[in-house]
Amino acid sequence: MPDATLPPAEFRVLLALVRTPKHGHAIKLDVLERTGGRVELGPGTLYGALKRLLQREWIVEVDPPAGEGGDGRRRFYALTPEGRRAAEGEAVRLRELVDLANRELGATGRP
Amino acid sequence: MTFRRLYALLLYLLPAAFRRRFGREMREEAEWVLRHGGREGRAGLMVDLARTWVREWMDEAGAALRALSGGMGMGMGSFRTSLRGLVRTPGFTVAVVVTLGLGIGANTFAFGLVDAFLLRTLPYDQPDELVAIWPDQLFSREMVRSAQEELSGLQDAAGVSAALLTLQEGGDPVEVFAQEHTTNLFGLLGARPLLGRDFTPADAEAGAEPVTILTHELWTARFGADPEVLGRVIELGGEGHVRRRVIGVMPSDHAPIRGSRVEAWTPVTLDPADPDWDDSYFMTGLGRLRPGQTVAGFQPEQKAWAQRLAEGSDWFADEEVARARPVGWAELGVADRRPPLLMALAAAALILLVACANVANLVLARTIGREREFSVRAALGSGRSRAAGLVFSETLLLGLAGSLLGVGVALLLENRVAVIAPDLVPESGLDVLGRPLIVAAGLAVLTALLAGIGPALHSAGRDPAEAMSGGRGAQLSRGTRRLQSTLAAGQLGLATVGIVATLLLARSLASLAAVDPGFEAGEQLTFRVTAPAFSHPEDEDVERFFREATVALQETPGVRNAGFVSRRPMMGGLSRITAFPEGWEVAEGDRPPEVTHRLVTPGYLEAIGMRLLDGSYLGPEHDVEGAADFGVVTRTAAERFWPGESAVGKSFLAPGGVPWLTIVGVVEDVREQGPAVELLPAAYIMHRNWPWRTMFAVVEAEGGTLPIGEAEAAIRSVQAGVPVARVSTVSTFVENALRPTRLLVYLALVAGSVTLLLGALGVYGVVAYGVSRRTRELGVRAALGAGATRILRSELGRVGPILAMGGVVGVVGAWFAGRGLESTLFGVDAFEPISVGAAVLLLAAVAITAAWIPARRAARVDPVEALRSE
Repeated sequence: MPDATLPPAEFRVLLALVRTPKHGHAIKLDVLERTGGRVELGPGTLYGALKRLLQREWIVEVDPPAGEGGDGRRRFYALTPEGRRAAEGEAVRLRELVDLANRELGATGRP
Repeated sequence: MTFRRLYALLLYLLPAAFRRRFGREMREEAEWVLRHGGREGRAGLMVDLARTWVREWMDEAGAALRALSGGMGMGMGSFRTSLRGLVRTPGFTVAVVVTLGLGIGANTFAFGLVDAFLLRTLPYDQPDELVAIWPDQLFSREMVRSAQEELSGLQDAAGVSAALLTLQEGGDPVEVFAQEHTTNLFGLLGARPLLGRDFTPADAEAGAEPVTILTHELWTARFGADPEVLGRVIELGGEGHVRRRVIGVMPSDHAPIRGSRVEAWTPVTLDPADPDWDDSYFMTGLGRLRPGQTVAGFQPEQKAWAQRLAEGSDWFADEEVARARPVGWAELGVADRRPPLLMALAAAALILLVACANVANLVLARTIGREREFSVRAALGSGRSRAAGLVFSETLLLGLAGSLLGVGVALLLENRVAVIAPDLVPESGLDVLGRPLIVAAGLAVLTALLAGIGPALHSAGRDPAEAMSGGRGAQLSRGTRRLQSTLAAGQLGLATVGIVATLLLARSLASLAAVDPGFEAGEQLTFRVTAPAFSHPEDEDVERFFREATVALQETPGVRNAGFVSRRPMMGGLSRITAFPEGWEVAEGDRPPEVTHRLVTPGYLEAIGMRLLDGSYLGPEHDVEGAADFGVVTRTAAERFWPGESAVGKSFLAPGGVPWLTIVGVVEDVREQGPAVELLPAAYIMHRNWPWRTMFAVVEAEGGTLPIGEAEAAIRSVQAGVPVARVSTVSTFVENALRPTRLLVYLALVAGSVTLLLGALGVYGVVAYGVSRRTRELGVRAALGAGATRILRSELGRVGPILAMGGVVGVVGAWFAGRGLESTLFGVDAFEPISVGAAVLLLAAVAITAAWIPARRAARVDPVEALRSE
């Protein structure tokens, strides 16, 4: 796994899509909820991330699930296998980094 | 501008593909943040947007460069090289970016104006179908009805007119600009209320409850956007009613047709059986063409209709009927604005052309200076196209930086012009960040390419060996020198055009200002008063209100004279009546003469400072019911109607030969229509004849201007809470009448000075560069005994051909500029040898000064130094 960082916003978007496909606003709300309201993706950050993830084909646009977003105005996105791998890779990279930090800094506590 | 609108505008700064895909969702997202986030949310949104902007453009640029880098030889590498080079030479970079910024900014702004007035489509359904049925003519109810029934080219016709109402909603009453219109207007425009319902014909019937529809703005400002207002009866007075029920609110994006200041609408009946029916001509006739019908195709039918109307009525003048033609609604009012707009655009284009030439010159000089660098690169195997690519990538970077600065300049200009000439900027503001921005970006690229083309060809065409061996002492190639001189000459020529235009406009302004207005444009206080409908419903009440207000103002301590008038001088606005002057024979088939009139109360003529030539002013003794009313006429009226005799004691006759207006005095002509408009015969008539509800007060006080508070107190002693608006002094609004011309002078002056400055820099550059390149040659000449004067003279002589070429371009351009300005000029010829001569002389002086500085340096060259420097 190369040591290329995935921008946090893109990582968070990938994570938000792991369970179910979501539209943009729902992704933002998901991130907001999971961080206890700490991380709010701005409109440009959110859609910029979506654009780049789409370009890399880590996510794809899918039809809205039945009963949701039937107005056709909202576009839903789902994680692709490549996207899932990228998220996993990033998680491994971050874990290694944290382990290293813990060893070097002598921190023992686990979150 | 609301934050939402700003945000929507700023989205245009994003790459188009990104905006198209995500723009709507981003707006919705921002909307959510605004609703949940408050103040912090706004700042956050801006920061987020700025970051996105940078990131997306970098993405975009990266992709574009990867695509380009194959063919042109200008990959990321050459951009990086260029960027480094530009940072190393900040002087050069700043000079170019500022020059381009000025040019692009001026163009962005000018295009924004043109876009706003000439290119923008009307915000209605199928706007091309909307026509002014007969724009020169006010419509009566009967005419609107007739247009609806008889004009088969129209789907529907509506009438609309302005009204000033008074709103009493907590606190003092305020003036409300309203439109009265036939009940089908919104339907015709394809507009629907946001809340409530549209008018129905029943709303305008006699006995129906008076109703009104509010603008979103008034609803928000006065009623706190409370939906409960719907169905409420509010005190909105005027036009015979005091209270009206609110039946609807229009959406915020509904643009009122004709007049953006409208705040409320009221309905007008079209039923001839209705007691409110009258035959007065007070509306603008608006129609919607049938699908597929064109304005031109509709014209014959409209003309035949106008002729039929004219046959049954003596209201219409034959020449007006002959000229009758429909006009597409989008064209209305554009004609007046076209000259200043095109002038602004021309001035901006001029600046950009000169800026372009200047940048080309700067880049050329720089390229020549880097010949050695290029040669080394070439010798090391870097292709010629790569050298050209380097120049292009450099100018492209400069162009982009310039366009960024240009947007700032455009916004600044918009601010300035909104202060100097509010009429020129639409109230909604300019959409500078929309289409104009795209134009600016296009201009930047174009400018960069144009400015880069000469230098790029130059550097691509050099033979490395020759250039390297040449070194510093080498002569410039003839082609390059010629290019440089041509550019400088072009700048000087364009500068001449700018200066000539400035001179013409300034002289025109001076002659406008020198026109005798016929009154005293002094420090008199003036303001507008509307008699409130709730306290003064009938004509008699309005008449009494202004009589009492006049006395109250006159009795205020310190007031010398005071009175009211229906329209202030210089404001324009024709109120014409047909007059039958006593003793005047109207030949068979001729139309009786027309007189423009102003309604006044006693004291107005003295207060505004009109000069009495004969008889007396109008006093309280003339403000009485009698066999005939009393009035004062202007010199033009007196001389036209009663040549060679005194007009005092003569009368205008009513049909049947009874005098209805007896002349008690003659005053000097007054420029009622503006300084440059031909004088028409005019009469000043007592207000009681047609008691207008809205009048302008003019108060002349001892020792300057009466404080507005005291005037307000006087008016409110007659009726509490009367709104007072448009407060100014007479001299101020006379100044305002000259403002459009002043703005043109300002624009031309800016354009002229900038081009002159750039032209001077160009000349300086040519000569200075020549001198520095030939230091050795000059040194040799000095060593061989050429005197300093001689060298100075020969160096100055190089300016000659440039000046001659520039002069020719300038004189020809000035001729065209004069033609273009002709309609705006007053009291000056469009092509004036004196102005042109003066401009050429000025130019010569500037060019020679610019050449003098480097030439003197050349003359002082120390031979030893010069020879050793190699």
